[in-house]
This record gives sequence, C-alpha cells and structure tokens, in this order.
Amino acid sequence: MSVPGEWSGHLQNNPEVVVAILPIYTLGQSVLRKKARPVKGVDERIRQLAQDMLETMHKANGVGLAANQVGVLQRILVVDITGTEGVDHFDPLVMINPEVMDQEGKVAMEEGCLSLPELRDEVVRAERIKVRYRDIHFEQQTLEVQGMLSRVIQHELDHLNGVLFIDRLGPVRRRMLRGRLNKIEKGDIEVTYDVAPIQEPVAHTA
Amino acid sequence: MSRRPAAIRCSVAAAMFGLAAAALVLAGCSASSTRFATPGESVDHEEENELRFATRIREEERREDDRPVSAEETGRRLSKRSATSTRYENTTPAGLNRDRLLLDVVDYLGVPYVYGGNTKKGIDCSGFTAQVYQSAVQKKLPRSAREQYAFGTPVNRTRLQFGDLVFFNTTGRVPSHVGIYIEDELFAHASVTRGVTFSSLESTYYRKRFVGARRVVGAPAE
Repeated sequence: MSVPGEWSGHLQNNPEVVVAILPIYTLGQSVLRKKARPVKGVDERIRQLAQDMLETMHKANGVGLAANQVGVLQRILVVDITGTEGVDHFDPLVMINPEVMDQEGKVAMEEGCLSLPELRDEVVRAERIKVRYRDIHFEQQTLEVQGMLSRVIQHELDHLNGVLFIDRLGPVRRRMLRGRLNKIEKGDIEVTYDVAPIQEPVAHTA
Repeated sequence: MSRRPAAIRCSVAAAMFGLAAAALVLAGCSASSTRFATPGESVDHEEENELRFATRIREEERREDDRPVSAEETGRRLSKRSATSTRYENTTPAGLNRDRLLLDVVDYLGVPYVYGGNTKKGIDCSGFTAQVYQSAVQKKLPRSAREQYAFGTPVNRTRLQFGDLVFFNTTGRVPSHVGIYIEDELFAHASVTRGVTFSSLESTYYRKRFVGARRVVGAPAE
C-alpha cells in the first residue's frame, strides 16, 4: 500500500537536517484539549516540525501523531502505517490542515494512543473517509481512504480538535477506565518513549 | 495513534489472565443483625468467623469456580451494548434505568470486600446492593441480605431481569449473600475474595447456593 506524491522524504535524506525527538504530551496536559490552529504556509519551521513529528512517531512505535501531542497547536498530523496488517510498505504521510469532506459507513476498531499509554479500546468511527489537506509543499490534495489508514487519520484529526478516543466511548466504559485515566494524569505510567513532564506546555506559534 | 502490542505480549497477558482466573474466587457474606452491633457488643468475633469462613471457601472455590468471569471483559461488553444496541432497552420492564444502575455498579468494581463496609474504600454484599439502589434509583434497601430478602417481590429463577436481587446461602444461614442480576446469567456482587465483581449464576458454586430472587422496583414479578 502506497500513497503517491505525499511525503517525498527529501528531508529524511538530507544530511544537513538535524532531527529532534520531541517529548509526547499525555492525558492531563491542556494542549491535548485545545483546538489546533490552521497552518498559513509551509516554512522551514513547519518542515522541521513535520520531520521531528515523523521521527518522534517512529521512535515511539506509533502509527500516527498529531501536533498537539508534541505540544504544538498547529493543524499538522503525520501517519505511517507500515507494519500494520497487510501493509508492507507505506510512504509516511504528512497532512497539513486536514478536513474530512465526506464519510461513509460505521465500523468498530480497537485503538490505542501515545498520549494514553497502555490503554486500548474499541472505538466506532466512519469506515471510509474523503479527506482534503495540504501536503508538505502546501499543495492541496484529496485522498479517499478506508481501513487502517482511514482509522488513523480520523484519530489524529480528533487530536487537532482537542478530542481523544476515550471521548468516543460509552459512559459506562469511560467510568470503568477512570482509575487508569487518573493514573495517567498523575504521570504514573511506564513507557518506552519520552513524555513531557506534567506541567503547562508553551505552545509554539507560526 | 499507537500500535497494537506485539503478539508475544498478548499471549503473556492471556496466560496471566488464565492464572488469575484459575486462582479462585468467592463470596460469602454472612449478613445478620450482628452487623448492627450496639456499642456493648463486639463485632470482632463475627469478623474472625468471617475470615476463617473465607479461607474455607477459597479452597472449595478452587475446585468449583468453573465459570470464571472477567469483570473487565464484562464491563466492556455491557457498555458496548448500551452504546450501540437497541435490543437492550435502556429502561427495563421493571422500570429501572439500565445505564444509570450500571454506572453505579461499575463505580464500585474492584472495591475490596470489607465486612460491614458501606463505602468505596470497602463494602460488603448487602452494602453494595443498598448503595447502588440508593444512588441509582433513590430506593432505600434494608442493610442486611436477610432483610433485603424479605423486602421485595419473589421472582422465578427463569424470569430474572436486570436489576433483580439474587440471593445465596453461603454460610448455612438463609440467605447470607446477595448480588444484583445483570443479564445472561451474570450478576454483580461484593465477593469476599475479589471485592466488587461479576460472577455467573451458572457456576457450580453459585448454582448450588442460589436460594431465590427479589424484585424491589416495578410491578409484581409474576
């Protein structure tokens, strides 16, 4: 599975670009509950951010990451579903200002989130979506997706609107998870990736 | 979004769950009027009995817990139904708000068993049923299982509905243990060894000890 013309990888192959692994913000940090602002154009900072997000996602073994999760309130998300069922190769995708234009069907699928360590639950979302976004060159693109890719994009797009997957669970289920959510909020978690210390983040602006 | 954990971790988790499930269960909550001990009376003696009793049951249970129920899985399944299915009406024929009562049950899941306990720090079987009814339906139940048994309308075992109280004879006194029927032979209760959890009426242990059910809200049962 491969999506053409998205992330060319030019930054990945450029030795002059220094890539940073960013700490991931976890539940309890207000940046996850805020709405990210549209990106007005791609400059060096945005390219660097996208690159850092990809690297951060890969290091954390994630399949998707939204800018809110690294403390940045910009409408950018990255996806790489390589290694998920039936996907041997996938060109990492960077989506700027993504919007769902159309959606179809409903399907339940188990999700997890780098901002909610060790929590997994079944979430019902649209099966297929048509999404419009700008790529790393700020070119307008549209993509019709289903399956895992559709799932990850919807999950990350929620982040840009301050929404987490636990918000989409039933009230009984959420109540059952309360103890574990409280633990995450207190920073009582075991993860193999860097997480931001529990405190108010300084949001980047473009 | 994060990746599903690797298969090897799943199998370890499954093995651990198997061990935990095999480890045991059990509830016996000897409710009698002595719980309302006057200052002059000592409840220590009763608690001591309870502890010895629990130990005895633990051994028996190891042989008889043939229908292990995972509280985690059950809660997941129940909440899925309440969110997505119309087959399970939110209001039961008995007039109970299913989701409201379930929320209160779930609130107590994992609370340890404390004889005579009445709070989220520790609770016993009849304390659990009374607390859930109090907060979900504003219905005040008597405090002991025996009194609760005398309180409602009898319900046939085959006609159990969500919210009915189910009673057991776990100590030789009738009835000594109480829980809340959920559905599909499952009931929620405060178990001596597992705290508030779900169990199956079909397990040998509870099937043998089941003594009857009572409906405390809604129309007469039959």
